[in-house]
Amino acid sequence: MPGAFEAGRGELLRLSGIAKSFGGVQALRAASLSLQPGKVTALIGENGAGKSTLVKLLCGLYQPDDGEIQLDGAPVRIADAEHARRLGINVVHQECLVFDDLSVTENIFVSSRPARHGWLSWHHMRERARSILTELEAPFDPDEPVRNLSVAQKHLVQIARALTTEARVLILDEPTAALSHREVEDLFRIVRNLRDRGCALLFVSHRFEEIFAIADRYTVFRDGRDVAAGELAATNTEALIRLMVGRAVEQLYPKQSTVPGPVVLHVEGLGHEDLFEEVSFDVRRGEILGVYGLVGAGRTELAQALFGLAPADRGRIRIDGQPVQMDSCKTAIQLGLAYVPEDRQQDGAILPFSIRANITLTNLDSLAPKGLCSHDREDALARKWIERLAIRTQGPEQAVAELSGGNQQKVILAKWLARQPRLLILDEPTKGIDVGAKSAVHAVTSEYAAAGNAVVLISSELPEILGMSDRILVMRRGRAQALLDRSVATAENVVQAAVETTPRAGVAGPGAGVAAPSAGGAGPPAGRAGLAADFAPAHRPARATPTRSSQPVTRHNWTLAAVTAGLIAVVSGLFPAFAAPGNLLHVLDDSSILILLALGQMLVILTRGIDLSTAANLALCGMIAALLNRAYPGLGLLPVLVVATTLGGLLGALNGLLVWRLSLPPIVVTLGTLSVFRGSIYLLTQGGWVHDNEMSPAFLNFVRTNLLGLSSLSWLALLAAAGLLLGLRFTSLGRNAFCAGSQPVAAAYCGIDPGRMQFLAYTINGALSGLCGYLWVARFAVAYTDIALGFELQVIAACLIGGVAIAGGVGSVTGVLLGSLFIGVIKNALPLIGISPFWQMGINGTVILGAAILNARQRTERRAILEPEGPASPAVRVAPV
Amino acid sequence: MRLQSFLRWESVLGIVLLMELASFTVLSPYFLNPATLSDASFTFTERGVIALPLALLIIAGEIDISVAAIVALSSVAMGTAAAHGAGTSLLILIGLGTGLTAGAVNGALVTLAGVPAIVATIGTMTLFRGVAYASLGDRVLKSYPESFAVPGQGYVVGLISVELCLFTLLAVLLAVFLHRTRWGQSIFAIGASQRVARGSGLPVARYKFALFALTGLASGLAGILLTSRLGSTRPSIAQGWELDVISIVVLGGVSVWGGKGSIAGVVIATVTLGILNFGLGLLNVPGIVMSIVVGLLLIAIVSIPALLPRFTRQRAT
Repeated sequence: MPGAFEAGRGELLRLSGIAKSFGGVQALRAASLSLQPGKVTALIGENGAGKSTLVKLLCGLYQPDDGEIQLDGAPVRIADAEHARRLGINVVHQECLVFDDLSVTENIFVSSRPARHGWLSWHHMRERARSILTELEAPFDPDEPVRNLSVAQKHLVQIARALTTEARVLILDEPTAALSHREVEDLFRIVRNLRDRGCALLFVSHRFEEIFAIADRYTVFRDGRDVAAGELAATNTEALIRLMVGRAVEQLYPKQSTVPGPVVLHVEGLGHEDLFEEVSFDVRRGEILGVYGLVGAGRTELAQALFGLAPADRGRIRIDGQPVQMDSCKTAIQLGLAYVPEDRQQDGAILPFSIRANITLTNLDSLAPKGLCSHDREDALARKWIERLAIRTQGPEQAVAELSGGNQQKVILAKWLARQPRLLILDEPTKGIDVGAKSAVHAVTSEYAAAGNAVVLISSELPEILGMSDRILVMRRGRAQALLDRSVATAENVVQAAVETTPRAGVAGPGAGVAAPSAGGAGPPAGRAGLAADFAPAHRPARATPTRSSQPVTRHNWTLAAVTAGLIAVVSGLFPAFAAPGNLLHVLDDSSILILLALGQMLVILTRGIDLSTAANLALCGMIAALLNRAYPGLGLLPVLVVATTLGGLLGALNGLLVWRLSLPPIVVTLGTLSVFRGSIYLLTQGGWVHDNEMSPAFLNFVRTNLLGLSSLSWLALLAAAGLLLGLRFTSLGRNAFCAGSQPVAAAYCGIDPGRMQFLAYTINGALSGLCGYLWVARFAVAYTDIALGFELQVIAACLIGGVAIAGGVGSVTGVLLGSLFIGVIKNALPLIGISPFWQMGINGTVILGAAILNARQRTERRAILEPEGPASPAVRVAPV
Repeated sequence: MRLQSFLRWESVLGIVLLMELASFTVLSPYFLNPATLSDASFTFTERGVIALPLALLIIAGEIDISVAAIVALSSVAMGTAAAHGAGTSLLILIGLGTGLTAGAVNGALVTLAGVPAIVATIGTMTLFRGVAYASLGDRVLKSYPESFAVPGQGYVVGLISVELCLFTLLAVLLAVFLHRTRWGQSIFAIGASQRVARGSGLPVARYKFALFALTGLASGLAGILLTSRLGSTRPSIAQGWELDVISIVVLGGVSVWGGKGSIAGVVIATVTLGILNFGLGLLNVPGIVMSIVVGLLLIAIVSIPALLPRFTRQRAT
């Protein structure tokens, strides 16, 4: 929109003298940056230079320790992510911050939901999402669940998210890492579009080709501050690298020439589902085989198949001529393979453990052959490798978490090299580590190969691949496109092999060095609309997928409804009276308290919690309600209700506070509060009871009244269900609960506080429990210490049967309603069939297990409530640089 | 690093235990008496027998809240067999066998069916306790052979009970296993990072299955000891023990997130909580008030690391 922004030479955004440190590590010192409207500024720097911190400062996730941010010439304090958005600063983060459990539409509008008087308008959202997706030429539906999308497509969704509001400043943090060539072109088209409309763009990247293609200006960061800025037209790559590194680029690739020996690894026709197929190659002793390809090419999947982490389902592998079945890591390791994974913090090393413990872990069979460990032997091994690889550390007992990225990678290398593997597989070994450590890793790799071992080096850095490899295997879309010898490989032909489906005339060298790409049918035919082909999901399922519109939740609920109806039918076959409307309404009435509690518990589980204290809460509030009524019978019903509900809410809030503020594990907290609440009843009453003759008529009558055929309890349950259904579907707060439970880290980036959502969930659940306390006591006309003892298990059972995922982020009110009714039907049918109530518990247990097993089948692996890595609080998870 | 944290947690715990012993000695004249202390040991040996392998399971990153229900199940199985005339050795076999099978069921649910441990053990807890109720209803089984009283009521030498011996033996065995062998190191690794453990060639599923089975077996053993001591079986036996046992493990310094803990800590915690239980009983404090104390203690223990300044906390960078 012409004229919408400040036309002219003025600065739009200016940072001056920004400083930021994290517990002693200075991430930024006196950093400055200037962004002009209508210009794309590239932010260049090595990992650790401070780029990421700067980006997070700009989008409100951190506050600077010092310095000033000016917007339109006026100083401004960006309070949080929401504020940044309101100021017109949008960010596309490097990390994958999408919610797998939600739809594309919802992901796009997570920070900016259009609403009318607080009610979300889904229709509007869907239409706008559709138009944004069309503009991006994305081929997927707005209704598609994001978990079905490929990595590149998920990134597109993030980009779409940034385009929902008119941005005055748009920050793109390494946006092309996950994109293919074509997708990058499309992104650039949008960037140029925005630039021409007056937006100020910040493009963070270290891909110089792209920087020179898209950006107008540059700022170079080094060691936490800006060292240079200017027009890109006036400089070149070499000069920029020199500024980044601070010295002339040295020989980074100390490749020693070697004479390759016999074949160590022979791979023939290897394939795994649709992740990669028909891959064949050899690796010889003394050789480094580079594997290049863009994201989605299947390189890591190939490595995982070679190492037994995700075994191939077709093809043959031979080690030193012997055919092998690579069915587990253990097999691979025993055959002399080693694998340094891409994500060193999650998969490479155990960060809280010491260097010694990490190195010992892969060498247990040589360090403790009979089982007993020796600290001295382990210490000696660790020291040997600390020296060998020049690892900068205080000693073998230092935790790996305290080391720099480069030194962490050295520890990981050490633990594998100590085994002297005959084949070392390295997956992006120098990603994100500083130049010094990088060249050390290269030196070690070269040396290792020269000593007569084989190395497979997976990398997306062209200079690294070209500099280190004897031969280069180029993969594209799961197939081996080309196998180039060092002598003929150039940046051009390697990249071409990685992005095109058919080889160009110049690539096939004079015979010897090049293997023909896989036979016909490789990838989509050239004539098809290229865009659609590139955007098609990388994982083409081998079997037919379910129709796009069928959501697993809906299917689950229908199945549950059918099973419940079937159960009613079976029982009424034996006892026709069971299916009579009067009886069914009775079942509903009987299940009402369970429904109310299960609805509350659903909120808690949805936000990744669990509440075992709900029944104890109920009992305590119920007793207090009864005591209050006994002491002041003239008070009437309303004050008693208010007291019970408020008290319940406070008890729930206590749980919530402990889980939120102190990040305590919900299991432990609610186990503790369970006994405290229940014990408190005893403290109050010394074991005394409140009997029905001590309860006033007003107190007792409410739960015994009928309205339009339904009991008051049923009405309460149904109203609560309806209210929650609407609230969760049509209010921003409700949708935030789903986001917080689905991906807490992503939610934090979008301005949602997962901890706060948990607190709210526990408080609401507590209030519901308190209310049910009164309802229970009034219904059964008695109050004592042990009421509802163990009822929390039935509540959780109702949630599980209702399809609420224990890991959070998934659940439906309908499901919980049906689950509670299911349990209610069983409970009421048992006496009819003549099964003693003592069987109720056992049947509940069977039903829980049945539902759990079925649920487990459907879900992909997700973290359970006891996360091994600890609570997902953003302050801990977000890396400082 | 382990020595450092040992000095911090276990020592503090040791001091708490000493303070506790001192307080009770002052409050009750009966306390510091060898016979009394020997009686006191019964309050912690059975729970301790369950807590030790459960600690290993939690260190490996899992959890089992069905332990008390397994105790009940094995007790009911033994009681039913005894009512049909089974001898003591057979009863012991049945008790252990039931526990082992129950633990294996938990292990299979988690490792084979992929059910999260918390859900699986809530389910089996309900199922096992439910089977106990379904078999017995409101009856009590009391017809145990005389020799069956030995495990729970017998003494090895002087005032040292069979139970105390078993507990000590188990503690020593598991301490060596966890802290001195490669399998113990593997358990820590699995709990700290399952992904790295798997990528290092460790058969994670097998370890977890074995630990669930071991926990079940220990619960079965505790069932034998408890039933032998009480001389009778009710379906409500060991009700609420899962809270006690988890409290012991957490008090002992085992992190619920996995990857951290020590047997020494668990042993001290077992004795501490057991003595607390016993001491309060001597002072005529009712059991339910005891559970308030345990509940508060549990919350306090996990809160302490969260309230102390950052440097004692583990960081994931």
